[in-house]
This record gives sequence, C-alpha cells and structure tokens, in this order.
Amino acid sequence: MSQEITELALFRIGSDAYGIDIDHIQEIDRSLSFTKVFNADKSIKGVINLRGQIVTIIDLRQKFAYQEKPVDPLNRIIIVKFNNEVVGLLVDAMEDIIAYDPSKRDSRSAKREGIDQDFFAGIYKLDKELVIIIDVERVLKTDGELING
Amino acid sequence: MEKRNDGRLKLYVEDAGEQLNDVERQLLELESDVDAPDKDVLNDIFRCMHTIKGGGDFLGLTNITKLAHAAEDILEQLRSESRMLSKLDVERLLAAVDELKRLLADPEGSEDFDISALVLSLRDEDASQHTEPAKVDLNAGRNIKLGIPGTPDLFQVETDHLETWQQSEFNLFIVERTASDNEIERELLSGVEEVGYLVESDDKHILFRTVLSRTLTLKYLELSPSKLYGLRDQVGDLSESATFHPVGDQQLGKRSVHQPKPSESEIESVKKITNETANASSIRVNVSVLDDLMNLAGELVLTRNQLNQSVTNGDSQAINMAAQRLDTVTSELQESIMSTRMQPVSVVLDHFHRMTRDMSRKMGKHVRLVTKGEDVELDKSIIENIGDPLTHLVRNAIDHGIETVARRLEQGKDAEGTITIYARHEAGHVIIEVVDDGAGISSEKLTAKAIERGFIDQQTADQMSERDLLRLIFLPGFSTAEHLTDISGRGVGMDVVFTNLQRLGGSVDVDTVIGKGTKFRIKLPLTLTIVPSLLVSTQGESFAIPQVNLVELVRLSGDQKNRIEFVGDTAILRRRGQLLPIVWLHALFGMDTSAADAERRCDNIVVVASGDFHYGIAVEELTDSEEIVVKPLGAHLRSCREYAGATILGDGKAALILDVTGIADVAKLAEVTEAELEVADHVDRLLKKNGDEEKLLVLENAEDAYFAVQLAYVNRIERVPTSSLQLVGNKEVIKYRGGVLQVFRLEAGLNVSPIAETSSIFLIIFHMMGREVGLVVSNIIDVVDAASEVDRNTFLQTGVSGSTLINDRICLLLDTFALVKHLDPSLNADDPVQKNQNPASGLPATSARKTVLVVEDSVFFQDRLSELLQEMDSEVLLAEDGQAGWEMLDACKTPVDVVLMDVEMPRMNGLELTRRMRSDARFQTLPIVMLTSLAKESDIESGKAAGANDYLVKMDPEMVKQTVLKHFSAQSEARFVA
Repeated sequence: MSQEITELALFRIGSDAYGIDIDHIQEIDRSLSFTKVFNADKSIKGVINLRGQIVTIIDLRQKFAYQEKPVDPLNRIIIVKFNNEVVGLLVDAMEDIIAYDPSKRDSRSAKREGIDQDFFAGIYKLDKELVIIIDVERVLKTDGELING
Repeated sequence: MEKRNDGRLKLYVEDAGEQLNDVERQLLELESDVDAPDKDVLNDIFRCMHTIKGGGDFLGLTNITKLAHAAEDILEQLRSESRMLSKLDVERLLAAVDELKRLLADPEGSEDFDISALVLSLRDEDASQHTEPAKVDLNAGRNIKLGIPGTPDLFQVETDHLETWQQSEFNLFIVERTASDNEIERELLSGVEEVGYLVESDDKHILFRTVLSRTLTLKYLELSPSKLYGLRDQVGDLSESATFHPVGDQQLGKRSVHQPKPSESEIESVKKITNETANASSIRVNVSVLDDLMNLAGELVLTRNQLNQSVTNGDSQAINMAAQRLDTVTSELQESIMSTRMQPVSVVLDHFHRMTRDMSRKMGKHVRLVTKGEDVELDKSIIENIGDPLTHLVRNAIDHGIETVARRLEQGKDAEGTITIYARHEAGHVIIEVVDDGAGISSEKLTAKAIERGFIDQQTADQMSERDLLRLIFLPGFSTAEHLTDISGRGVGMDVVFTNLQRLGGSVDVDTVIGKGTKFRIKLPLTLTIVPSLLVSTQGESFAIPQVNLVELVRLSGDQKNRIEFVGDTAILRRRGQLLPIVWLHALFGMDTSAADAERRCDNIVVVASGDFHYGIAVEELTDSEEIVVKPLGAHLRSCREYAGATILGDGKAALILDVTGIADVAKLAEVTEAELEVADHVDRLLKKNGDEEKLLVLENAEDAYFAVQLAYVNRIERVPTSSLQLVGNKEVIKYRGGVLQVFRLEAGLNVSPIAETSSIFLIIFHMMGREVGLVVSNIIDVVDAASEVDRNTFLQTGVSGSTLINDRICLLLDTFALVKHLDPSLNADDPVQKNQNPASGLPATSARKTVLVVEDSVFFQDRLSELLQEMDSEVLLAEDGQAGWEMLDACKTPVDVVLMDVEMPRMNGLELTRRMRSDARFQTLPIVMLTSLAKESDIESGKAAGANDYLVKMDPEMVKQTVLKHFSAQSEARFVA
C-alpha cells in the first residue's frame, strides 16, 4: 500500500478483526440477494445489481479460508473500486471506523494458514485485540494479472 | 496554444478530420479518371482545403496552414485549368492529406513537424535548389541511376524501391516517347498505367514498372521492340555494382519522384485511423433526434406526475393507465436514444478505399473498391468492432483473391479486379458482403492443406460438404496463400475475423467459385446493448438466452424422453433427422443433482445454434421472452466462458446471460454422426444384456484370434475409420474428442496374427496412468460371465494373464495394463499417478494391500512418504495439491484407505480438501492424517475442526508410520465386523 492510510474501516470474519483502508471503499451495501454464478471460482459469492451495475461479490470468508457459513442479516458488502471496476467484498459484519495511528502498526506480518500471505498488509494494534489490515489490490487481483508494489 | 482555445481547437480538429476524409475519398475518385477530372469534385476539394487553411490560420497553427495552403495552390491551378491533373498531383495531394492528418492528431505539437520537403514537392520546387537545406534522411536508401545504352543516367530510383519491385517480380522498362503527337502520347501513358505503374518520365523517356513480360508489354502497348528497353536485365542482381551508378544522398530529390511505398506500418496506420474514427469520443446527432428526445423527456415527466397523483389518490384505474403510458414512453425513449448511437457503416467503409489503393499498388495488382449501402446504420458498439474483421477480409481479398494483372489478362478478365463491399438490412439484421472477382478459393487446396496440417483427415474431408470445407479457413492457424506475404497470410486473420464477429453476436459465411471470385457474407445484429432474449430457469435460477442463438423450443413428453440416446456420455436427441447433443443446465452448472427427478423435471429443450452447430440445453422452465439490457461481467468472472454477460430482471435481481458457444466448449459438445450413434447402440445392447461389471468383453482381432478383457476396466468403446489412425514418431495415435489418443495394437506386443484389414476398427478405451489409451481390435463379439477355468500356463506371455474357453473358442485373457506398459515404457515416466493403478489382470485383483493417498506439493516429501509407505507394503497414490487429490478421490475407482495430506498447498489447501471430503458422503469416514511443519495449538484445532483424524508434524517417520498403521488396523476390524 503506497499511500498513507488515514482511516481504517474495521470488519469481522469469524472471531477475527480485519481492517481496510477507508480510501478504497465506495460504500457499504446490505442487500444480500446474490445471483449465484455457477462454475465460477469458489471465492465468488455471486453477482448483485447495484443500482443498475452488475457487481461481482468476493466472499472473504472463503478467500481467507474460513469455514463456510450461511449468509445472515449482519453480513455486509464492502463496495470497493478496483481497476476501474466496482467489486464487492462480503464480510460477516462491519464494526467501526477508526483514525489510523501509524505508531500502532505492528512490525510483524500477518499470517493465516492456507492462504496467500500477500493478502495482508500488516497488523494494527487495538487495546483489546489485533486487527489484520488487508491489501485490497492483492486480494482482488485476478489470475495472470501483475500489480505493482 | 492558450487554454481558452481548447474547445475551439477540438471542434476544428474534428471538423478538419472529417473534411480530410472527404478529400481523400474524392482524390481517389479523381485518380480513377485523371484525364477528365470532375470539376465539382475539384471545387469541393478546393473548398475543404481552403476551410482547413483558414481555420488553421485562425488558431495559429502555422504548419497546418502552410501545408493546406500549398495544397490549395495546386487545386487552384487545377480548378482554373491552368494545370492538367496528373497522377503525380493526386499522389502529392494524398501525401499532403496524410501529413495533415498526422499534424491534426497532435495540433499542439504540430509546429515541431518538418513539413518543408512536402511543401516544396507540392510547389513543384526542387529541394536542392532551395535555400533551406533539404532534410537528410539517414535511413533513406541510396539512389541508383538508370538509363539506356548511350544515356546511362536518365532516371534515378531509390534502391529500396528497386528491391521491393524485384521482390514483387516487377519488370522495369524504359520506353522512348515517339512523337510530340498528344493523342499517341496520351494513349501511351494510359497504356503504361494499365499494364503497370509510371515511375518517372521526362520529355523523351518514360520509366515504368509492370509485372508483364517484355513480349506481353510490347503487344499491349503496340510498340516496336526497338523502343522498349528492358531494365530488369540491366539492373539484374542488385549486388552487381557495375550495372548501376549510385549517387549520394545530397542529390536526393533531383527528379526523383515521390514514390508511394505502402508498408505494413502504413497499412497498420490506415487500420488505426479506421479504429480511431470509429472510436471517436463524440458523435454527431441529428437535431430532429434531439428534439424527439426532448419531447419524450417531457412526456416522461408528465407520466411521472400522473403516476404520482394516481398513487396518492389510490385510483387503481389511473395507475394502470399511467403504467401503460410509461411503457410506451419508455420504449420510444429507448428507441430514440438507440438511434443516437446508430452510425452509418460508411464510417468504417470509407477508409478501405485508400487501403485498397495503397495495398494493391504495393502488390502490383489493379484493384477497384466499390462500396454500396454506406448509409446502413449500425450501433456504435458494433461499428467500433467491425473495422478489424473487415480489414482482414479486404486485405485477404487483395492479397489472395484478386490475381495479378498478367494472370487476369490470361484468363480474359478485366485487368482491374473489383472488390465490392455491400451493406444492407435483412430481417432485423445487417448483412455486409465482401465480394471479390478474383481467383476464388480452391476447396481441393484447402482440403489438402487442412489434412497436411492435421485439422482433418481424408475420410472426414470426403464426408464434408463443400461449404464445410470452405469454413476450414476460419480455423486458427490456417492460411491459403502458398507464400506468406507481409500483408496478410500470416496464418492468423481469418480465425480472428470469425471470433471477432462471433463476439459481436454475428456470423460469417463464405461462398466461392473457382476463377470467378469469393463472397464473404457477414451477418450482424443491429445492436448489442439491448437484445431480445428467452428467460429460462432451472432449480429456481434464471438465465437469459439471446434470441439470436435460438433455433427452436422442444418440449419432451413422457415417451419422448426415452428417445434420448447416448454416445459415450453425450445425450442425443433425434430431431427431424438431426442428431442434437443435449446438455442439462443443472448438470453443467453442478447444481443439486441428487434430487432424483432433477433430470426428469427438465422437459424443455432449448435448441440453440453456435455457428452451424446446433445443440439443446435442457431446462426446467421457460419463463418469459423479454428484451434485456446487456451488462458486462467483472474481471473475476472473465474466465467463465459459459456467460456472455449479465442483465437485470424486472424484480431487480441480476441474472446471467448464457453464451451458447462457450457452453458448447465447456461441455465439450461436438457434432455426432449416425455411425457413432450406431456403435454406441451396439455396445449399449451388449452391455445391457449383461449389465454387471464382473464380466468379460470378448474381442476379435483377426479371424479365430479371440481375446477377452475385464469389462470393468473399459471406459468406452468406439468405432473409427482405420484411416484415422496416424503414426506420429513411433507412436500410433488418433484424434479423439478434441485431443490425441495413443492407441496400441495387439500384434505389436503379442505373438498373434495381425489385425484383419477392414475399413473401420474398434477402439477399446482404457484409463491408464491418468490418461486414456486405446486398444485396436477388429470386432467386438460379446460380453460374457467371467471365466471360471483359467489356464495360466499355455499361452502365458507379457500382456496375457492366461487363457480360457468361451463359447468353445480359446480366448486369451489380456492384461491390458501390462501390455500397454510393455509396448510403451515411456508411459510410466514422469507420471504423478503412475503408482496408482493396480495393474489390471484379466482376473479381478485379490490383493489385500492398503492404498494411501498422499496429497503433498513438495516433491521431497512426496518421495519420503512414498518410500515410507512402500516399506509398509501399501499402494501409494500421489497428488500434488488438494485439487488434484480431490479429483483423484472423486474419479478413482480404487478405494483409498487412508489420506495423508499437507496443509499448505496451492489451489486447494489441506483444510479445504478435508472439508470437501467430509461434506461428501463417500469420504465421511475416510481417515485423514494432516502433516505440517506448523504445529501450534490453534493449527491443530482448525485441522481437527475441518475434520482431520490426526495432525502430525511432518517427517517424524515413526509417528507417521504408527498413525497410518493404526488406521489400517482399525479399518480391517471394521471390515471384519461388517
């Protein structure tokens, strides 16, 4: 992540807290009627109609190797802009938006068994727990596509 | 340029660009009849140049003004008839147009261009005499003096040109001008232009090039032999320096004519311009259309008010009326907006005139381009995308279609070839035909080439219709030109045409008559963004199928369902003599097939066409027929070829649009012939007779040479023509289901009589080492119960496990796996699953060895674990990641006793694989041992949560061994109890 983060949006998958640079976020959507795309990658939850635009929804639960869980009303879709396209990230719940304090960034790198370590940009320390900051570009990168930095 | 001029500048550039396109077209028109130029056309061109000059001056674009001014000067002289129009003039003016286009492309930087040489040439001035030094082009070739005996330096030509001409097999001639008689002069000049190209001339001599031989040229020009000097002999090989006289660059320009040298890059640039114009960021809209739109917008507002009011009043009748009105207004609005996007095909077609001229010159051919129906309108999105395919077709027509002048004359055709591009409306589609009157495409040559390249075999070719044969040129990597040229014929092209058009929802057909010409017929939809579609659904999921792909709808009633036949795994529906492969949507999409009646509920077959190939998609329900708005799918779904896009349904939900071509590919559907069906039926009957897999399939190879194989190991049986077998290296193969199948003959490995000579053979197809192999036999005799008495001594050899008596015949029991291994030991090498097949003997395997599946991405650990497990005398299956492991489990007939897996693996990791296995009834109790270098408490937790029985730190061999043994014994007990 080249640009300085100013605020982090916190969300939750399972019991873990994650953070995403708020500059990436276009909006948070709560419509959860997905149209399933058969034969697509399993990390793709489906597509939705976002005001006339077809938006692909990536299931972060699947992407980050959590166990599958049925959609519940707390689930949210984080709509982000990626490569001139609008993509949605399905998360278990949205939590908070916090001001980013660079001194609270942990030098350790985040790891999770079974998934690409590049998905994570780092760890951020909160009073009670650690937040994993995700690297949106790497999470959304499609096969055969190289990204810089 | 100051900022505030931006808007004005943009307008000027757009406007001048359009004018230049007109000028270009008109110049080409003039060129076709230089002797009697149309005055109106000249006036038009003059006016355009004048406008461009004026605008440039106003905006302070000096270079553009200068150039336009110079061009205007020539035009003024032509207009006032103080100058006779010559081909050279047209050439110069065209050069000016090209340069102006270049300048206009970058008006801000236009002052940096050096246009002095061009301006001078327009002013008929000699560059070397001018005070401004002529630009020395270091890349320019040297000049060569050409002459006739006595006067050796009549003309100068650049070596580059000479080389190009020589390559194109041009002959160079100098002809002496006879008299000052204008009539004869003109005849001679026009004659020269007919047989070739005027290179240069002075008052006594004319230098020209032609593809005709000396004799033919003399005949054509009606000259006496003494007047015509053949220069080709004199120039000879360019490396012979004695025959010509090079001069320095400084003298370049002296009487050397600006020679057009259309290169690939120039043609590319024409193409680029085509695209640029088509992709213009702004388009012109007729004011009346805008007025319409305004009116409709007004009506829309009124309707909304009406609707609001009636909703407030709760007046349902009024609401209904308002809704109806809304419907009408919306349709009209849609239509009007669509019409603003409609553009005439001329936007694209106009550029082909210039391209044709430049290309045909380069090729030394005479080609005239005629365009008809330029006013036919197509949606902007289509216009933007037909440039490329059309360019390919026109190029091909010039390059391969139209013959050389000499050839055409020999055949009594006009020296000039004609290419016609004809656009018209037809039944809701736009048809664009590209017709040439050239040589036509020889289907024999095509066939020969297709066979040579391995696209088809002779037998298939014999069965193919003329039309199908012609369609071969659309295959990737196909080119009909005997020599590749730099213009087309690089073996790409036609397939690009095909795929591009298909992407646009169009199609292309070809029709040809040898010696008469070729016709390409392109069919395009009017628009791409709103398409009438059929909505279908299966298991509650809706999909749209574009109406253009629909052929018919078939409803299967009860007894018709039994009429579905099978070839291999493909279901076939017989429909009016046609055999339609059927794909079940729920099966294709891996929906819930467990529902017993999933298939039965799908009694609606949507017959669709992917090009010429028809097949059926079986769905549960046909919901509606609707005009849908096509929306693109995101980058993450681009690899899903089953979909052409998405749309939004009336209820606001997104629905996917099916791509019938993609589905045919994904489902690996192919046309099925009667013969295939017949064999399938035959085998089917045999199998039905004895449905059990504990059977033997009895085969015949030669008369009285009978064999038997375990039916359980047979994947499929096919009948193929003997001629379709090919030798590649030392292997015999056959093209099969889009791939290559290696086949083996019994007589190659066994001491038996060779196969009987017949026109077709049977292939017994097995799975072996993770791939399919075929065994060639001449006939299938029967399916019988497994033999009770087997003689294991008399006929024993590699590949034969024994012999038995079946119906009083001696049958050799084949051990196909041993036989194939023996015949091609290389099948063993580098195969990750080599150890997985328990070599099938003619008799069921009785071994009680345990089988362990090792899913591990590191080769090192693969080897260690294999060693370890083999020490324990168990069979080892290897998979390099979770995905491969799953596929193996899913497909493998051999039961697996224990699975050892790594956690971190590409594609599918251990946790995912475990979850997947646990959610499948077949593998719910299969012991899973996870091996990893990470052994934190939380990792073990998540492993066990996923469903693993044990979690071990990798490479603790003793521990691994113990654990595996533990599961082995537990299983034996379980079996025992069972």
